[in-house]
Amino acid sequence: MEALLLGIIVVLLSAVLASRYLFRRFRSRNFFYYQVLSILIVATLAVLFRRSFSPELSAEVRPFILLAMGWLGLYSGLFIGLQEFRRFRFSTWIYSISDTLLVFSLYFFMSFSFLYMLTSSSYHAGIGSAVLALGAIEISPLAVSTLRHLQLKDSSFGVFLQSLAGMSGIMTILLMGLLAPMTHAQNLLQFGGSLLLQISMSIVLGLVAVFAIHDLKHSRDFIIWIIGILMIGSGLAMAFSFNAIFVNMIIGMTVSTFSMRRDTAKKLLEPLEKPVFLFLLLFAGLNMQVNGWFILFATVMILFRLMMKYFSFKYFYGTATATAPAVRELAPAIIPFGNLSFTVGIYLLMVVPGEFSSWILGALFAQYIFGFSIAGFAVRNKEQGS
Amino acid sequence: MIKFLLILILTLLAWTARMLPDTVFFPDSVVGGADSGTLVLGLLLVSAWVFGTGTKKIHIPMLSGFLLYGMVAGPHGLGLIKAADLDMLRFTDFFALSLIAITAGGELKISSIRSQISLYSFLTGGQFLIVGSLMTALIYLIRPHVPLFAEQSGTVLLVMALITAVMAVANSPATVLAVMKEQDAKGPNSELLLGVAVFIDIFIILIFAVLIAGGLAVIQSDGGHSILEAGFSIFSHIFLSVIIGLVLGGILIIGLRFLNYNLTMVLVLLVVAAYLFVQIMHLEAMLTCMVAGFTVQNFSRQGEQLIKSAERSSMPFFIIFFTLAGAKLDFNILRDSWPIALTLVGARILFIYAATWSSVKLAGGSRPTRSYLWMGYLAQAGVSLGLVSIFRESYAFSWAQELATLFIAVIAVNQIIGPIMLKYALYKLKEIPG
Repeated sequence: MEALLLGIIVVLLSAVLASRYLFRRFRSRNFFYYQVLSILIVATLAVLFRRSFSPELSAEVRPFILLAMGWLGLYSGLFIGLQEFRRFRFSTWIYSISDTLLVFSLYFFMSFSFLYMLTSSSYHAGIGSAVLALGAIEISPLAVSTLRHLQLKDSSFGVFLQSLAGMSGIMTILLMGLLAPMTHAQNLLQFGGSLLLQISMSIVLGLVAVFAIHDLKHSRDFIIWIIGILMIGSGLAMAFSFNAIFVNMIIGMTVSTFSMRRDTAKKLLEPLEKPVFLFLLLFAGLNMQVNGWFILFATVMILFRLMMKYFSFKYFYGTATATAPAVRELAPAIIPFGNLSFTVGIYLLMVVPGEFSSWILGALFAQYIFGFSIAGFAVRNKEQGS
Repeated sequence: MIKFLLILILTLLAWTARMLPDTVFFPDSVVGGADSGTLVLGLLLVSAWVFGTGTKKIHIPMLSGFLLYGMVAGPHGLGLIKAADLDMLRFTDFFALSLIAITAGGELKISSIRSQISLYSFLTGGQFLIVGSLMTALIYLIRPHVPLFAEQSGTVLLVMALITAVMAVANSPATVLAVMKEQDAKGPNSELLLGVAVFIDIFIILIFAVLIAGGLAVIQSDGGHSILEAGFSIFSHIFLSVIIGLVLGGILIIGLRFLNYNLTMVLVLLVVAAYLFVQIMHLEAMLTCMVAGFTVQNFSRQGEQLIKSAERSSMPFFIIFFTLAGAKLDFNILRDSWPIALTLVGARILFIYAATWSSVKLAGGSRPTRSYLWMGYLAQAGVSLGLVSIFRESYAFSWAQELATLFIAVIAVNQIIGPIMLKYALYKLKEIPG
């Protein structure tokens, strides 16, 4: 435990100090360096301390991981009440669903073939490729920052891509929630029952939160209820082998739909964003393992993902709303993987602990870092070109 | 009422989850293992809060509601919080205690202490001298009537009497701080109350450690422990706790200068660092954190800002700390030992009244301070329970186990009456607004 804590302190301090001071110069030129170098520092230092991270210690940290994942779901859910759903155009919905299904199924198929060749286990190949495919769906929220960088944020294309980035996150979480009961259901009936229970339990918790917060006056009372419900949601999700992110997203959506206080909840949860991601990155770094084949495969898949995203946009939707130059701008914006990509890997590690999950996490993490690096270069080249 | 209904729904959901682990439908369920910590923590946070707001409505401090919920839901009550959960939540408990200790240390301002130095000295000294000596005398006085004391030899009885005396002086700065923050109490008496409670706590940790080691050396005269050796070990241990507290305070000041954009992050890092040092060097966690808080408050410009930030986010930690403290209490103990436990509680109240009254009178304090301040020193909580567990672990004798059980019974009663009396005192001293 001492070595772990020492590791945590060193890693957190280095990451915070490095990102704040050492790379300020880079940041002003190109924000990607700032992101990538922080992530690399966290990952490298985390790997150095990984040896001291035993399964027992992993169990002690588990509640905090659950909380962090729950936070992700709840915070995302608070932005997507039913009223927000109506704001998305029908064509955006169609595109998002098509894109999700296309990327997920092609990515799943390729990953399954590769993993089955490597492990000869259909269970491992199935669960591993589902996680890799889930990690590939989300367009990073940083796509929006890229657009800002390219001064395209307020264009019709920029607004559209922002909607897509949000939708891709929702789709990832929805698929995670749908797939979670598969880890334990033995037949279709059990799967259906489990899914129904997952959704109804989340709605009940969401309604409890709505009733609990509707007359609260003090922010102190508010934070106690929100954090309490978040903990209960995450704890119950793991108890029933559900997905903590999905359960909390439904809670957040219920609050967002039925409560007038959703903005207060958002404001209270917002300051936790940096600590949550730092903690998840750290945990991912401590648990991932590097397997050469997996990393090679992951690198190839980044390009495959880019092609799929680009073509799905261009042929499914692009011609209808965006102009041809805007489509060309899309490439650097969609390269970075979303934060959910490595979170999916952490979820796998919690459900199926072992070396295989650590390799998958390593592959996802490599994709995450490579994605940022490539996008960084792409944006810089674009800047120099213009 | 609707909030009670809501926590009933949440409790039912949690209870169902905990009852189902091995059923056909959820073969992979892990609740009862590592994940129940998150569920229990969430449940106790909202439920204890609702209990607290309920007790507040009948003019009893919320703190008592948290304790009450802990007792009802704890392993000795309904069992919603199991003994294994308490083990699992050790780090969370430490986290809460550390933040409370940092805040308590940060409430001590040198300028304020200097202006009331005579009151601080007389009150701290008075509690130890008067309460300590009277309690020791009482043990000898009741010895013939209590089999636990009557059966012991002279040396053992002396050790028992001295440990009982020190336990009687122990109070709870965490309770004082929690009630003060809850009631928004401000004024010279509140500052005095908390400051003296912190000082007493620091001395208690020191004296108790010396007494435990010294007592063991005297009782096991063939055990190879000399009193001098034990004394040196204790002093170096305490000295190290203070030094590390100062170092952490220094780091915190530097951290604040560089990272003041994120106070929460700084506090979290400090608590993790404190936990690390406490685990490696076996330090006194409460003392180390209080010294760190004191250092930041008095030797940096940003200290005030940090302590205020800690205060603002302190309520969830108060809830966790006091609910877990309540869950650790077993009121069934009182069934067998209530006559002697209530005698000790009654005597302690009387002695604290006498000590506080005479100390304030000697230091020239005001009449209301003389009349009501004593009520603030009755509460006992986490630190007292910690001392009992140290005593229980250090003394593997049957009489020590019996005495420890008696202490827990006394603490249980003091934990209930303490916050109520404290709130009344603050009200009478006109330090609660409105």
